[in-house]
Amino acid sequence: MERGAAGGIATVTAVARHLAVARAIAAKDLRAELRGRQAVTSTLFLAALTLLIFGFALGPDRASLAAAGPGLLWLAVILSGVLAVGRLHQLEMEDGAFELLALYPVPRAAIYLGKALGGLAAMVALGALVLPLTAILYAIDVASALPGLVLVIGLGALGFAAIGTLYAGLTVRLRAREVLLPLLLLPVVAPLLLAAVSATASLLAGDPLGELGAWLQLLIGYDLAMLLAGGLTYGLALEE
Amino acid sequence: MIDPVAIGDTGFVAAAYAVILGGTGLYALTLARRLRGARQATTAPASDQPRRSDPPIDPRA
Amino acid sequence: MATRVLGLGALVTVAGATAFALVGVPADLNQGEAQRIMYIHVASAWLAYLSFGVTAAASAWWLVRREPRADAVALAGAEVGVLFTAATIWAGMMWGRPVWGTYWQWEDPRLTTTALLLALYVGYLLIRRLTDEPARRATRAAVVGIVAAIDIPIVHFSVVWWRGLHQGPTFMSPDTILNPPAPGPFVAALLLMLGAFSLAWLWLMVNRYRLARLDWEAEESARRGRLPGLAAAVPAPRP
Repeated sequence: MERGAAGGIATVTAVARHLAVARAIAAKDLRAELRGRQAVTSTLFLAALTLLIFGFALGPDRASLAAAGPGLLWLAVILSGVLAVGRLHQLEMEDGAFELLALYPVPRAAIYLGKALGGLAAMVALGALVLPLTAILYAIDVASALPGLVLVIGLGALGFAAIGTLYAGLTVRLRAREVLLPLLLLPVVAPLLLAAVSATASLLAGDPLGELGAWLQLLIGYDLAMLLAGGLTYGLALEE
Repeated sequence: MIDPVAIGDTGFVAAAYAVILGGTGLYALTLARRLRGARQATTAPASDQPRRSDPPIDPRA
Repeated sequence: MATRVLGLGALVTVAGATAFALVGVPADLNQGEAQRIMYIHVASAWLAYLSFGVTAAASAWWLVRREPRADAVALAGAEVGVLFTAATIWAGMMWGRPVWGTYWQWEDPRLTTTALLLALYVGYLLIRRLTDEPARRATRAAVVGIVAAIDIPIVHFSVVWWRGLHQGPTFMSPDTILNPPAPGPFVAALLLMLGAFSLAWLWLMVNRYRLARLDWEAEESARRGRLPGLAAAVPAPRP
């Protein structure tokens, strides 16, 4: 009885420690960003620009742009997101802080969690910007489906941050990381993209085929799988 | 009984088989060559010592 | 040597299977001559995914045991896998043009999943190429290999679901003739091709593995030679 309680307390302490470390790392990233590090904020401008450029590429027919809306929304988020997660590691590397991070005697999974939280914040920021812009530029009514859209954006952001953080950590020391990161990420996030776009389109249309539940399940499953993969292997990416 | 459309398809069939079998064969040949080269490298390792005399004339050069 | 026998056997059976597929087996009533491509397409696909599984398993083996043999197997699986994956896609396109009228179909789960498989393989090989130190390379690649292994079933499921929602009634895939069960000669031709290709795959895997082992040993002794006595203490130069 006592041993079980002691084991339970040890687990809770371990979890709390993980969370404390993760929060500290994420807070550090946020502070750096607010102090002008510009890791993520520049990608916000890029996402907006991407939406504009898409309009030139696919327009001006309003109907076809509206139909392409969900896809364009997620393309903008993901293409900018690749840069964002990359820069979250890259700038830290350039400051020499990444090496220090690897040396801290804290659980690797906690470091991963912290970096992934930063990535999640970045992706959510991208989503929060891209959603209203898409509505405006492509004349799509998002107000009616807003709660669902927020959920889909949140799930997509989480999955992308999960795998993006892992691969960014894996490639940050390589000279060719600017090319390698998208090359690795884009195929792996293909199901995320598919599910997110399908869910978005379905929400905007009022879910005529009843497919929304399945897409959400796919998103959740993907998120869990990638978080697990990242939590288990990020430590390997850190070691030199 | 011969379907003229089906006859036209033989081009695609040929393209499919030729490219795949040819490509695989090429890869196999290249692999064999790389393997031969790697084996020769391990049995005759380069020496770090400086040459004591001029190297022998290579008849293939 | 056993591998020489294997190679010869592979050559002979591939030739025989090809001959049988091209002239021995009758053409399909619905798909015509193009249906013959199915044999090489399905066989290639089978081995592409088998190679992928091998790479994924070997990657896990490396991460757990750090044995150079594991990394060699993973590399062999990836390189040979790229070959068969490209073959699958090519055959699929050659089949699609006469039968569907287009080279590509977004609703065919095998084609789209295999295209992503190719992309994942390329990423795997690229991250290997960009890392100099053998152990670092093996670890980085192994992470990519395992993530890819998690991803592919998700991709396949999502595309199948995607197709299920939007599928037209007359969608045809290369192995439609297997459902309902096909006449004897068709199945025989497929199994023959599969067997022949498997032998070829085995030969390629064994030799690529051997090459990988030789390369690893050569790399290791070159590194030790450059830094006599220090190789263990000094970390590798950054790639």
